[in-house]
Amino acid sequence: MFQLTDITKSFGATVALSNISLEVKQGEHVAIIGPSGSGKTTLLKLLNGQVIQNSGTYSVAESHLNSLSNKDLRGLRSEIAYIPQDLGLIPQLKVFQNILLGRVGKHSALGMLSKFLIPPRKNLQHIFSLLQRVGIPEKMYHHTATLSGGQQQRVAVARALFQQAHSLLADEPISAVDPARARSLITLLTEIATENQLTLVMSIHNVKLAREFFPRIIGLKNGNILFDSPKASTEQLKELYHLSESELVEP
Amino acid sequence: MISLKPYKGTRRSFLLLLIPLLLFCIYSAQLKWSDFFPQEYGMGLLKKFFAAALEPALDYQDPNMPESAPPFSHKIGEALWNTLQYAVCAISLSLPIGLLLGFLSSKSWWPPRSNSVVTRLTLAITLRIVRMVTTAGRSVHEILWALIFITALGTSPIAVIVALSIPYSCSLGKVFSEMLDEQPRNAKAYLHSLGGGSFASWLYGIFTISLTDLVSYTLYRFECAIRSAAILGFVGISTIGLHIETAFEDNYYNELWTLLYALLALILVVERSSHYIRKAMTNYPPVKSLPGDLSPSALRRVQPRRRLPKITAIFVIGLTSISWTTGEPLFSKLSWEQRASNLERFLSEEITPYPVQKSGDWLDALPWAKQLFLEQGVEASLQTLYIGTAAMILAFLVGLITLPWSSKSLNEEKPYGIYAGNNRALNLIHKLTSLFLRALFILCRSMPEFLLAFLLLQMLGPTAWPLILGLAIHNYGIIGRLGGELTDHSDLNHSKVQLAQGGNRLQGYLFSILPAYFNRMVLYFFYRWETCIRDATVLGLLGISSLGFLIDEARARDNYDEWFFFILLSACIVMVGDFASEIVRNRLRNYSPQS
Repeated sequence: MFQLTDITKSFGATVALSNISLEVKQGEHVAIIGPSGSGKTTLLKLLNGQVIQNSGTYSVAESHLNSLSNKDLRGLRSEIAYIPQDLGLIPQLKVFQNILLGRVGKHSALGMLSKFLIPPRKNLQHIFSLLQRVGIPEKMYHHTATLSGGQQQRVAVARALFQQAHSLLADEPISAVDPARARSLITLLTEIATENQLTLVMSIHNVKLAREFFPRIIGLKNGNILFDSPKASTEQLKELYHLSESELVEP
Repeated sequence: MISLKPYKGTRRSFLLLLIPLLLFCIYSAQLKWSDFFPQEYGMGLLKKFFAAALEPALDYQDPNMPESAPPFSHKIGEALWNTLQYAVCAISLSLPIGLLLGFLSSKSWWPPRSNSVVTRLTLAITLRIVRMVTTAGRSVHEILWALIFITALGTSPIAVIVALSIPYSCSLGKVFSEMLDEQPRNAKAYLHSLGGGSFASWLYGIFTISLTDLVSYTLYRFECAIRSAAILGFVGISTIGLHIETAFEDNYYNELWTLLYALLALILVVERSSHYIRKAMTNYPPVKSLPGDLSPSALRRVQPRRRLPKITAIFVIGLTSISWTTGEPLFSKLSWEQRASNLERFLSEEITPYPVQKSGDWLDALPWAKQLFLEQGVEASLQTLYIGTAAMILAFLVGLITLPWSSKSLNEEKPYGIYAGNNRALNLIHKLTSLFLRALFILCRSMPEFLLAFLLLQMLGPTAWPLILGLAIHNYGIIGRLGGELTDHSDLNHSKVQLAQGGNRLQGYLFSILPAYFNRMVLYFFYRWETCIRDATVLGLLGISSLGFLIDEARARDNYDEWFFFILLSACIVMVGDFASEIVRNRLRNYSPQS
């Protein structure tokens, strides 16, 4: 599905990804772990085509991103669901409207507007069943801002599902919730990915959950892949999170 | 490392600098302190005037009123309706133009990475041009626009409406673009990552978020438009200002007060309704209990609804259509041929500089302009600047002093929800002072500055004091409201800590709110200063030496070339003020810890 060869990406003098090669197959579940600033978000953004590499090649389902027209790029993105760290929900809108926006890439601006103002019954039924799946059907017509943090995450998941994409990218989706909610959200995401045969790539800070739920873990450090294995070993983790001298601060 | 930079005290210096600057302005405007108080004649008038406040007229004061005259209440009603009608028409015309201008001068919808240099360049050039147009449109006061249109085309309602709409569209455009640009970009970026196009991502990711702000500002401008329409009466348009002016000239003070109360009531109704509409738009409606069976249609039936904005929208559409279709025909009196010939005469003869009319050579205009500028323009421009600046400093300083007493959350029984003793009398005093001051703010900002200056002028005599005071009173009300938003609606944990540590309310204000929001307050100061300069250019129309006076005088002498020159000069002064304020505000914004 995602094929990266010798990818390097830098922002000015900062190298975010250096010489990375990686392949993610259709339907695979991959967790990306690593300390802050290791390049996890950049990698996800690159997979989504939001940033383009400085060197190397990247292709999604056989098509190379830097050779695509604007329209094709939009089309490609509309096939990849993405949940950013801040969820990207519009708090002023109602829950079903936010979910409808999952298909913004599949309609023209006017086409989207008509769906937005007069949502078709079929779409509403679909959204309702997705909300049932994530466990908050009663919130369908509520304003998104009135939902709790955990409920908003579920709205973001429902929106990603409504997009009917082939892949789901999630950037640290559990960074802001308590341990019990974190576990239930990861369970939900992995289950949903399995049910819908989605390729799932998620960056995550919680190593324990990554080991428990993901058959493949990639350790990223300073823009390099430190390991890519089914189970991260204790040694590998030690090396991954080892602080350099300069980062150690006397208490 | 701990920095031991010497403490500079920028905030203190700024405040302390304002006082000598105020004195300088007053001194340079050749004002005497003794003129601040009314003389004997003015004192008598003052007493008579305020005595009449308690007995507003319920019928004509003129004993010789013919029987056939319409009832007094009809006259008041008509004056109010005319004022409202002009305001509604002007705003409904300004809103779509303002939206377009705001969109074009905002960067928020630009594609994140444009593929072609040509697109980027086109966007940047369009933005520059539109911003120049909005600045130019705003720099001429609506009264002056009205005078220009009436002179060029002849009097007709549509000319006045268009004249009002020009500066209003431009103000809306400018503020809309700022609001759009200041929204968080994450939702837009997200929609883009799903493959949404630039416009669609902007529409859902930025525009929907800004909608409340846009509506809220439009409502505020509508309130301003009522004030503008009212004072257009002073240049002969049949709005309530005209009746106020004649009532004053006829010494019918009781009638005058009826008109004032009516105008105030109209503005207050609009002000309060926009307050509630804003509130309804920012607060989320309560959630209803769930239906027995969960299905989309059942959930839809119990969805939380906002009624007020919807009712308002219907009401606004109704009011707008009535305003455009009833009353005097829009294009009354003059035929299009007459209008065209008027315009031609206006452009080719009246406003063409006198020497050019004679010689036909535009180079001859230069010495003419230079002479006008040096002999009268410089002094009048400076005078205008002094009046505007003095008024704003006065309003700002008094505003800062009264702010802690007016704060809804600070001057309260429990400041910021923190228990502060149960002395009943004291608690009542807290409540009453804050209520009184907030009512005062509303009253002050509801009164048009031009009207205040006009009334004060009669009491205090012909000096610049009434102009300064009129401007200061109106702006005091606005500073009170803007400051109140900071003291009441912001996250003020630091202020809470001060109170929890045993500090009192005033300390909470002085050592927590004031330093935290000082930049914001200074930002407001410059924003209002810019407006004060703009308003000061027309206050001279009341007959006090400044730019407005020269404009009025040139018109009285039928010297339309000079008249137009001074209008252009006023536009230049406003643009210079705008530019200066823009620079300061941009710098402040970048330094502000809140933004």
